[in-house]
Amino acid sequence: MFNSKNYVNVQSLLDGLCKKNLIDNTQFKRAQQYINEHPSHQQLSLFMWIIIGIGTILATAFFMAGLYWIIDFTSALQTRSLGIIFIGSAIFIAIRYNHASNMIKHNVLLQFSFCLMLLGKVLFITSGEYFETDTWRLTFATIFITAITYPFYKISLDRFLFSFFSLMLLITSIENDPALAISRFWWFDLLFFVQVFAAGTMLLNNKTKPAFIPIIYAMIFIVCYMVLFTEPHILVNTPFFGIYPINSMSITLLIASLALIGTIGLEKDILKTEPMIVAIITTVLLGIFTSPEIMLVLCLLILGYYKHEHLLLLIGFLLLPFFLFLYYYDLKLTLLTKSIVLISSGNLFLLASAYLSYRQLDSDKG
Amino acid sequence: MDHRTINELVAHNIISASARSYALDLLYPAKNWGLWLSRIFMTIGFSLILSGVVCFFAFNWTKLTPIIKLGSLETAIALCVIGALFYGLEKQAGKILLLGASVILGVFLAVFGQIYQTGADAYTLFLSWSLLILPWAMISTFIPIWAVFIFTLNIALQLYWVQVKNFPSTEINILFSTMLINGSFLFIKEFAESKGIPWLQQRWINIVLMILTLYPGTIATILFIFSWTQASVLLIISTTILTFLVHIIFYYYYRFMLFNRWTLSAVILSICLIGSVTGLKITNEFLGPVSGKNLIYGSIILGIFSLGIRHLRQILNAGEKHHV
Repeated sequence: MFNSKNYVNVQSLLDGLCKKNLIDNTQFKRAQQYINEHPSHQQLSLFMWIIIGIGTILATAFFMAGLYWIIDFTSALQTRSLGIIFIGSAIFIAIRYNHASNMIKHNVLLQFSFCLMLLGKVLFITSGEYFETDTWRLTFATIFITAITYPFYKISLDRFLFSFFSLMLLITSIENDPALAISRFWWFDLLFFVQVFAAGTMLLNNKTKPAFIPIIYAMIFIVCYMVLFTEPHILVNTPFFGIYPINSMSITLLIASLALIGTIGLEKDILKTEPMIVAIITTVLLGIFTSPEIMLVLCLLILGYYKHEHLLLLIGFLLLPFFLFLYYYDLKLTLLTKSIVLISSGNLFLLASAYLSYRQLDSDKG
Repeated sequence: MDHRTINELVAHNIISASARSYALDLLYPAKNWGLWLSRIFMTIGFSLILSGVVCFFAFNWTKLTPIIKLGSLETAIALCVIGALFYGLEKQAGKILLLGASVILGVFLAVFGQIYQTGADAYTLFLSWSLLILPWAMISTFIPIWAVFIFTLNIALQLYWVQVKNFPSTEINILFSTMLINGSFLFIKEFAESKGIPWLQQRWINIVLMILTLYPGTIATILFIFSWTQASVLLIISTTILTFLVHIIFYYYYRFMLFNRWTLSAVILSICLIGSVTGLKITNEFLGPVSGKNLIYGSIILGIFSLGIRHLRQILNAGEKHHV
């Protein structure tokens, strides 16, 4: 009674590769052995991680509240020591029972280990001080503990969450530090640039280890956050719109989009084809006057389609309505200016689409 | 077998980059950049233009007289409909133009209400909007127009409860009526899909509708568990029976009739959430004001979610064996 179209037979795929002389017999056997040793049902899927994540975070919140009655939160030594013990126990459980054959035992221990890790990290990071004291201290403590546990604790949700928190705290620290009042925006630009190119390069590199996927997604989420919520700092006095904010992130995203299109074009040997040229021209024109959110949507969609990353495509598609909602309520621009920017950008996209259609490059055989 | 496994094989130097490229093309055959770019450009472009139109009329430019405002919107609707007729509804361009007409119709109604203020409740705007685009939705065979229809109908229903029937426990009424209305659409969708209607074969719509049906019920049940003394007996009984029934139906249908991992996961997550809240409520009533009871709450949640994950893994393993 099962009905699904998502499964492709491993054997037929490997046979196909063999027939095309893309793999030899040794590679065939190694691939078969690897797939047998790492069956997909043993790897937890995204929806399982969502359930585990919600359950564990809820349980951790209650455990944290429970610990409040037991330990002295004002003692840095006590909380830090307990944090380290919890982290150590979490790593021990995860390594010791990683291949437990009993499924219920494995699930309970997996969640318990993750819960201990969350508790341990929160205790270590806060370690006797309140959150509002020094964000730099919290940031460095988070980066330190994330970097230390990353190679040993292989739960991808933990890696993603703490990579995300580390970057988020870094942004908050830069934002709140009075010493960075003058150079703040340059630090933001640098951070944004580094993240866009690091995430893009790692995703495009076929040799990137699966262990880095959580950190790549953490960077992508932070890039989305920065584009949506950080303030543009270059204000230009224009004749028609008055003071108009130019977001320096657009420039980074324009360079990233062109690099992405160039990489795809070179790898697929389609750089000089008409669809790619249309994409390059559209991207350059968009980079000149549209908002960085639209550029980011385009980048995510192209990258997601190229790398078959459905999650990236989903983020790209969801980012568009979310951006439009926030843009509508943005007080920096009048609704008239917004409408002009949106309609102009939209027309550019439609023109590009119409051109592809006119040249019959959008047919199924194209 | 998916792209992740292929990438892992490349990362472990088992297969080459060219083998990866071939394998991915075999797994995901629709690699047509021209067609894909054209559709993406058209979708984003039209979304931006429609949003721009909404912003423009929300600006309420005083230099524009009412006749120009209404006239321009009517012209835009007419042009979109003529364009849709010109291209034909079997083409993507025709469908998108009809979607444009459906959205601009809502803008027209809002501007109309702004010019001729009668003091009518806002729900009438959304109700009229949804009813007026219903014929277009029916002939369009285009999911986004149905999405606009369902969205406007949901908003109308919620505003109706708030503005007209200001009952106690309004939020529970809103959530349950949302559950009923989205559940009806899901039922119609599943029925139409089983009849083999081609444009309704996309499974992600079922997942979205299923979440929109299940989770209002979940939230309403959680609210009801936390504040059950404020609700009427009729509401308590109907809440319990309806939530129970919906979970049973979804679980049975998506496990045994039409296996779907995402929808099953959503059902199990909902059961875990309701189970955890019930567990917390019962424990709280039973223990009373005891210090450190949060540790017991944490253990209860951990236990319930572990059971949920275990059950889901069992189902998925059984499901995978059917696909090998």
